[in-house]
Amino acid sequence: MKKHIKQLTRSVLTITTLLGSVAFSQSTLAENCYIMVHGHGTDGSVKSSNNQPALDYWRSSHFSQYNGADFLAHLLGPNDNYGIVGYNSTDEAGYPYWRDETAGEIARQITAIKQGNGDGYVHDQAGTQCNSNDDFWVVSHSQGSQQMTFISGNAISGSPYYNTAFNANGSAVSVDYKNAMSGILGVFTTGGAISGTEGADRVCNGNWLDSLINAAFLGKDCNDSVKWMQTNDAYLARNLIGTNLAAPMYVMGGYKSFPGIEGASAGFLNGEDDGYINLASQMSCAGSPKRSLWDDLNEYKTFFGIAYGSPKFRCNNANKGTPRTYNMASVYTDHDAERNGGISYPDYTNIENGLSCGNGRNMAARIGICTEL
Amino acid sequence: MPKIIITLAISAVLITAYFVKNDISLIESHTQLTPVKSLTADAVAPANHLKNIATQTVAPAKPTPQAPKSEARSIADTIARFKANQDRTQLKDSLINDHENFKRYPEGNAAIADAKRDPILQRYEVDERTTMNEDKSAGLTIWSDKKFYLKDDTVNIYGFVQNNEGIKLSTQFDAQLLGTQGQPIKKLTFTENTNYTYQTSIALSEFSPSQLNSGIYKVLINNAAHNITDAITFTLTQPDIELTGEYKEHIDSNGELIIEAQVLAASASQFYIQGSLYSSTQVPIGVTQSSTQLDPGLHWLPLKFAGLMIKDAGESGPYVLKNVSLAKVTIPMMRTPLLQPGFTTDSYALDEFKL
Repeated sequence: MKKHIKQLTRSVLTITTLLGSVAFSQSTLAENCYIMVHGHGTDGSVKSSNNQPALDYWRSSHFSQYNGADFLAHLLGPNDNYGIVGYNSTDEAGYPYWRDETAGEIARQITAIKQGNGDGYVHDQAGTQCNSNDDFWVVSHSQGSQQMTFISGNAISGSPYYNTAFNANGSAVSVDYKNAMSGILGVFTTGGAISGTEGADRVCNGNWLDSLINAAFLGKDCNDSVKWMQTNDAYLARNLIGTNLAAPMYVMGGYKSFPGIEGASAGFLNGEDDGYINLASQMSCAGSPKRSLWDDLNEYKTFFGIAYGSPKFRCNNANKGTPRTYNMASVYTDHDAERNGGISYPDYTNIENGLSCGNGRNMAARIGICTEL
Repeated sequence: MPKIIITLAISAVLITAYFVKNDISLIESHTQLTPVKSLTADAVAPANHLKNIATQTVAPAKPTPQAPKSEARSIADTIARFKANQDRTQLKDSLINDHENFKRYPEGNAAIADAKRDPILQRYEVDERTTMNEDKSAGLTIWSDKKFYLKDDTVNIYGFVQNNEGIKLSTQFDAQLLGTQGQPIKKLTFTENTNYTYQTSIALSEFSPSQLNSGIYKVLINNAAHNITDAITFTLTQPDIELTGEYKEHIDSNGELIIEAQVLAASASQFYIQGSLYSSTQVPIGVTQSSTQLDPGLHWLPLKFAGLMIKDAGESGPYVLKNVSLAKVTIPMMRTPLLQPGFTTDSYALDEFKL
């Protein structure tokens, strides 16, 4: 009997150890995979061992102040992985967000990354290709956020453009957005052109100074890509989606003008902006993307430019122009530094419904801290 | 033998307890990743760089291509893991809340908390736009009376200029109607309407069909006195679908309220319908949608409102199908003007809807 009890005790201990291992593995095997969707002005269809524009998008800079900065260096923790999505968002290609070459391409690459076979890019950081059982997040910037709004908003059955993009002839093309968005925990937008940009309005309406648009991601002429980034309602992705997004969208906006002479661009945009995109668009506020939003995401009556009284509009979670959209942060960062992490510890403004995880850090680090395992 | 049975029994109990405690399913839920689906025959070929992924010689970051560690986790499993972690971030809390709200109803349904946030009304809300001049001393505000116009409609456009004290100014505008390709079509004249608010109108019926095809039109408006330019866009819509005014209703076996709207399609196309349900006392309940390929002719389009969504609103029937948007799914989307059919259902008690 004593022997039996001893053996039984040993069995229970073995099982307990086994279960402990299972429990431990459940918490430690999980790794984050950030799927990176770049913005305007990058030919992400190019990819070779020594030319990787879609990856370089996140570690190159237009302004010398940010030379050497790298979004991924701020984003990645010890167990984090990433996958780069590349599509052709150049002015030369001129593809609007609903094209197969943009939305379709992004969706197919998201699906491929989730299969855990690597993104085909040479990562500087060893062992950071995504696994098929990772926790998947999408990180988007600028036009990338507009793209993700269209994809996520048409990944639910019954949506207007459910699993559909369009080719050069205007014919519908089948794209499996649903599969692409399956398993995506959330979409982060940084400086997102979610409701377009007044910069595109001005390019297309002919009243933007040429000297201010020499950065590739600004759009140099009113090609179809830029045309569909205007803030007029007819062009907005939010009007081409259904009742729900397939994944929640966490929005971060920048409100710092560009360094140097190009800081003048902010003078052309209504309300706060990151040098190119109105804050109201970045935060997916309901109503006009050009509304005069302050950095606290409120709109006030003004007298000689001074705000007074209680807000006449609050861009909180209840006043979004897209469903399942949540405030994350309002950060003192310009459109260039948003995508390369060029300002490590930017100032920020407390906002209604904002998330405090990562406060005091740049957008990349905020995502890393808020999603840490 | 008894010790084996006892050991197996204890093992089973402990393993079951572990998985139950952690809300982990042994079988993946339906939301798990599915294998990559081939594009249908009408799909274009993948762009070149996708082909390159398979053939390129770029050295991977790891010595060998990574084999998947295991099957993908479902969102539900991951959320359960987040829940089990007491030391989670604010973002994870937000995700948990979002997931619970999203999964509460079928994915095409969404509750409406406030009539002002009815997504159908938001799609038709007039876009009032203000543009400041460079020194912020004056602002131009412009808007149109609608967003979507049929070929016999008249487009009314309004505008005013304010100084930085908020006082409207006497001024003049130069305006031009631009076509779908940006080509100039007609110069427009603004006249004062009331209190330094100015108006111009475009009677679309004055143009021949060859002059104005369906699409997005722009009215470029310039105020030279203050050096401000902005534009209004509107869609000349040809939805090729209309409500006939006939409706059917029933509660299905899932406890959903199904309202079927009869439509007349004028062409073969993909069509989209979105409808919002209100109580008879005008309390908003929720919105639903469907998208269907139709041939020309009469069809019934179902709008499925989740029983739980109706129960959550706490409003007994009868219910009103208040706002409807119909659209032909092209680029740009050819929406009908806002439809408010006012169809009222029979009376239903809340307990007729299943949870």
